[in-house]
Amino acid sequence: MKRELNDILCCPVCKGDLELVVTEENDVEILTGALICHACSVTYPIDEGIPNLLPQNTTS
Amino acid sequence: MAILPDYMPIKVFEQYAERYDQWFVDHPDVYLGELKRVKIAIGTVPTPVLEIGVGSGRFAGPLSIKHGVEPSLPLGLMAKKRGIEIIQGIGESIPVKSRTFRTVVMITVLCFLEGPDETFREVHRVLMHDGTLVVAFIEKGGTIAQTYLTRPDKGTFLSHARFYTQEEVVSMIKRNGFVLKSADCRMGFCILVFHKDE
Repeated sequence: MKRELNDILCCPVCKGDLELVVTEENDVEILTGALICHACSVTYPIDEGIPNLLPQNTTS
Repeated sequence: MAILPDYMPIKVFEQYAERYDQWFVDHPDVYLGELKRVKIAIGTVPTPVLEIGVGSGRFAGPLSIKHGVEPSLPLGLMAKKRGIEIIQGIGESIPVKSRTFRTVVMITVLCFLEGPDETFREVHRVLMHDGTLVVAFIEKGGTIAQTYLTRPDKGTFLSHARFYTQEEVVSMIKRNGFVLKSADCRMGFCILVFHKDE
């Protein structure tokens, strides 16, 4: 994901801001890392350049 | 409530991503016909544009849509290769800030949604004032639904679909804060254009 994408992203559940943590980045984009929602205490991974923002706190 | 990534249609797209994408190669007449009609309906919609359920990017790519939400990672990776910025997520809980996009496009995704009303409420939230919503869908009882349900290629996916009539879709979207602007319904494939009603 490009760095500027983070400007429009939010937590899928509470819609709050996310903290971006970059693990690996090239000239074009962030390849791996995480987006952290402190309000929900949930870490959403970034893998292969795609942020995984599927809701994680739904229960059966 | 079930964990949404385990929702059956999402699992099917995860499992048969390659087969899904190959369908567009094997059926250029149907694919290009639908693409042409969507292109005409969309015209010059205001940007930025977000596609919900972008799949492998077979529509977003040619339509120059820059952003897509897609629950399936294998399909999302294909769309990424077609130049689309992918957010892995679901329409029922769009992980995008409010009033970000001027246009939202949904092409043959309505029938696979677990929560269509929740999705349209979310689309309303992420659209800017007077934003545009374009919904293209296979109509219940129409030619396409009847033809492909029994065929092994497209039937793999459509057998998990829940189809709606034009009237049902219009009613559903209107009650979630939109006004119908235009409708093109032919041969079982409908394209509806709405404006956000504040």
